[in-house]
Amino acid sequence: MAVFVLRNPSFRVAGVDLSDHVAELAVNGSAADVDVTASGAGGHQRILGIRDDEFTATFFSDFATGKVDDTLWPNFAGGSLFLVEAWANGTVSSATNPKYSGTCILTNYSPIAGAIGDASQTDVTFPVNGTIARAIV
Amino acid sequence: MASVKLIREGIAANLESLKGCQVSAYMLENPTPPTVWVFPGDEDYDLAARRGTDKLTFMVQAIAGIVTDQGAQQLLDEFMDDGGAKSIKAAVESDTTLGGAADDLHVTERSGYQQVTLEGRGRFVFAEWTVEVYAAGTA
Repeated sequence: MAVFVLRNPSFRVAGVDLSDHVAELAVNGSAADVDVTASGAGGHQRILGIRDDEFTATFFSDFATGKVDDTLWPNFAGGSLFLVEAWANGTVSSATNPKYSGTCILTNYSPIAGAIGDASQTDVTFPVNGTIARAIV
Repeated sequence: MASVKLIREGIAANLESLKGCQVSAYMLENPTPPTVWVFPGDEDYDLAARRGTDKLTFMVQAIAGIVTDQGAQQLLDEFMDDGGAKSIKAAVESDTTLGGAADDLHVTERSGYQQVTLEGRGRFVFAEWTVEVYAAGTA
């Protein structure tokens, strides 16, 4: 696959496709940097620690049924775990278009956030319970 | 679908509440001021994924009359008011979905007085307004 412009990513939250409201999207894998440097080492020795993955998205706000707030608020208020899925292009998983998914919980959500005169958007972080999985089929 | 035609015609329809004015969704060769018309400006594509949202800019120009005519200037002042029966901003924002042609719109800016010479007719005073329109693109 060649270099491409990100114009058709897909983003599902709890089974709801919110792609056409997504202005920015990121799948962030992260792990603690555990220092295991022993005496006499010439440089730091490191091993991968506990993962702390997350998805982040900027949505255009929409309070209609089946849209952004109607999907996110119940999950935030209910404190439930829900599935988040992301693709770079469409929803067909392949070696060149892997699906990244994780079970998430919303710990912060701001349904109204923005400056007067701007298109209403909200930045949302989806912390992963466990780790993000990568699938190519 | 972000239709330039439907959006400019929708803005013009909102402006029909300005009584006593010639309102057109298109620029005219021989306007009979006071004239208010609409034309498209820049467009930002792909603000959201999957052609979810485009931002289109439209311009509204209001030519009030001969520049030396005090009545024309008073009318242009009324056009410039942010509210009232002759307010361009209030008229354009009276239906922010333009009957379904847009998701939302916002009159964000207005110019000051400007002058234009209509051939053989003299100098006319006008102002223009910037309208930002959000609409879904064509997937």
